Amino acid sequence: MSAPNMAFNRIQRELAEVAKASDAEKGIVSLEAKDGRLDHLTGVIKGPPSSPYEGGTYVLDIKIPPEYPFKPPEVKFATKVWHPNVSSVTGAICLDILRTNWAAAMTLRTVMISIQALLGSPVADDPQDAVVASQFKTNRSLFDSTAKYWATTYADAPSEVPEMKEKVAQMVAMGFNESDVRDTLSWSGWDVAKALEKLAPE
Amino acid sequence: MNTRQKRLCTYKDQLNKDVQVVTDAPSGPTSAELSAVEDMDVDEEGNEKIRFNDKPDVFHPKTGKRIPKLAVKITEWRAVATWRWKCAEEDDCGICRSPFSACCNDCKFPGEECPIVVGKCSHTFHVHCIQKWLQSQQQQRQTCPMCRQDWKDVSKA
Ligand SMILES: [Zn+2]
Ligand SMILES: [Zn+2]
Ligand SMILES: [Zn+2]
Repeated sequence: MSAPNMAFNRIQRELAEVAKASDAEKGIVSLEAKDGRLDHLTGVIKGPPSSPYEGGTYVLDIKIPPEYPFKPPEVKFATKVWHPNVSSVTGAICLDILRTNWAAAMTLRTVMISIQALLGSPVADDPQDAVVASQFKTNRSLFDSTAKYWATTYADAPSEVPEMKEKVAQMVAMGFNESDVRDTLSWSGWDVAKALEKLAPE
Repeated sequence: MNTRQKRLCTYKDQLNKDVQVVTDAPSGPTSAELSAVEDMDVDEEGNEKIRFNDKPDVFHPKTGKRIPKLAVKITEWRAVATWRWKCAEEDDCGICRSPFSACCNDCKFPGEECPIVVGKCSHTFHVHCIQKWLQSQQQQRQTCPMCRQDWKDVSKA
């Protein structure tokens, strides 16, 4: 195969296209090259309205393989997100167009808009994070508040989830690391006793 | 059958707007299937709704089996944004996104050396670009990267 000429040329065109987009659209998705490198980019999407992610700003880490656009970009969340199709640990995304359903005519912009749509319409039968997916299916209101809490904490969403904030503060006061506390409480369905057991086993 | 999973996919509707749909088909609808979408309604709040073939079922005259109208069923969809492929279908190659007046990335001169081919679906690409795409698909069905219909070169016919 030839050198990644094609990949770089296309990325340059795509960056120019996103830059030319209207301001309204820039508010929804944006894209920039990291330190001028065309094989590693940063995308930003807004949490979709009427979802727990509303008002949140989500950073995506985008790596361009040399075979792009014949192979899909590698995209993961750099911002932590509580969602059935996103790993709550690594930010890996389970989305068909990033795997088997990729097509060479898709662009980073269509990918970002699809990820934004995925935030608004989780697909619980095809989970990336089993804990989150099972909570989504069995306890929707707890899922919604956890997702909202993560949106407030990590994505600057304006909404507040006081009960969860309080539980985190309570455990931080016991001397645990704040981000460990948030993760563990979320994974334990906000059961403080269970979270304590995981953080400080006998 | 739970092997059929819901899939998110993007397609372009008749109004030339891209919409996201969740379907129960493993690879999402093809544009041929989507052209069977009957029409779109806009309710008072401005939410558009897709209405599928409401026509009565058609039965096979010999077997008496119902003839499926659509291979996919859209179970849920929401419009997330409006955009168009910028000139991609007219002046630019959808794969390398260079204009057709220029050649693909591997060639030096446009024209005879780097011809443009047309698919049955009427999408157009540099021959070298579509060849690379078809090679990269290997065992999978060979489909047009724009519309996912089976690729058939009709430019030589
Ligand atoms: Zn091309
Ligand atoms: Zn060429
Ligand atoms: Zn096509």
